[in-house]
Amino acid sequence: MSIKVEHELHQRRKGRNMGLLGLLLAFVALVFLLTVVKVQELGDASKFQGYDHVVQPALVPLDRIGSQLMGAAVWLLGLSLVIGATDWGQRDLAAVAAPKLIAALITWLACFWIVVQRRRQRLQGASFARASLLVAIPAIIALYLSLPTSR
Amino acid sequence: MTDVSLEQTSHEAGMGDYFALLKPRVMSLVVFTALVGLVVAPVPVHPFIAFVAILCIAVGAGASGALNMWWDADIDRIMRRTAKRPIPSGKVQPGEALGLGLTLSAFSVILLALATNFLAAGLLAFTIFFYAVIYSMWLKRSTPQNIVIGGAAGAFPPMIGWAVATGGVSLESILMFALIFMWTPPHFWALAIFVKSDYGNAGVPMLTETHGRRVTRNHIMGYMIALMPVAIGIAFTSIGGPIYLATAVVLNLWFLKACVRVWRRDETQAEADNFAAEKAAFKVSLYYLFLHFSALLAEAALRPWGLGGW
Repeated sequence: MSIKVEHELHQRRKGRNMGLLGLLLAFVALVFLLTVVKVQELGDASKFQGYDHVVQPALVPLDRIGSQLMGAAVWLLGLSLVIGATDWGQRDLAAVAAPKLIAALITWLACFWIVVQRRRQRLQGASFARASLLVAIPAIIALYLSLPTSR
Repeated sequence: MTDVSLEQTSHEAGMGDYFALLKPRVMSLVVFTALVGLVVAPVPVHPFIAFVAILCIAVGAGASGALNMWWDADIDRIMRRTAKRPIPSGKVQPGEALGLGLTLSAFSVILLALATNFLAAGLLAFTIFFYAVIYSMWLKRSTPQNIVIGGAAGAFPPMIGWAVATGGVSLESILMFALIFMWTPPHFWALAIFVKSDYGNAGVPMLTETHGRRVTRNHIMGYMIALMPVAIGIAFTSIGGPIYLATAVVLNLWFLKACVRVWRRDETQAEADNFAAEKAAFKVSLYYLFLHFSALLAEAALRPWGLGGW
């Protein structure tokens, strides 16, 4: 889309427009070079927030908290399964909702497996976070099945 | 009104006219003194950051020049020396000068803050404010001491340069400020004596016209005496040294001699030789400032070889 009709104004303002173009290009170059110099002056790479392939130091405490929560989940879920089992033993097994029980067992086993793997140093940082997120799936299903309407 | 609009159609503003609004000749002094202030500072600055800083200071000074031309367009039109400036000659509209001045002021201050530090940017903003508002709008038309106080605007650049490098203000930067500040009155009034100005027609109170040339000659002498301890005192700070001290002693004796000559004459003597002594004093004043700052630059440049400084 070029302007085909030549107007007198184009010639008259040419000097001004070219001058402005030159100034704008110079400004772009200035900001670019200033950025390069400023970044290089930082020197120490640890000042950047660029932890693409390693765990960011700031996340280490968070990772530890996640692992402790997972341990607590194993204990609590295990305890509630034991309490439930003593209750079922006194009643008819038909009263137990099988899908709910299976979902809860899968969740407990998954949590247990994650905690074991974590102890063996096989699940660290990002992989631990991913596994913890996956375990949320059976946990949510178990919760859904325990809703009054799903019975 | 009619001939103004006629002129506007015949002369369209080009890049050069907008550039003229920035007072390029004043800018060159600003660039030089700011550069010296930056280089003599004890903290090294990356060359490109130094370049950007000097550019910002120059653009800021230019912006205050554009604001000055916008405000003074009425008197510039009356005086012969300034009648060819872009606004009185009709090449640039007053509103354009105001817009350019305000935009470049904001641009230069913000870029300086991002490239260096807030103190340097704050000093630049204050300089622009001082020149455009305190000097142009207020003092210039109200007191014959206008150029004395207005001279502060021209004295800030080395202080800004120093602040760019160190992020602070110190005795050295205050003395560099004082050197230009005290130098401005004898320099400018020597010029005012021999240039037949028409400030009176424009209603600007210049000392030569409000108090006469005799009083102006006395003032030149007074400010010269006050200038000497400042100029020589710099030699004994961290930026001074033997080269600067020798230069300062010679230059101060030279300028003092020229000022004494101007002081002892009366108008008949001056007119007899067509203001030769006043013209000489003005010329010496130009060397005086340039060589003082050059000597500071030399001290800083020789320091890495153990030759500069005490």
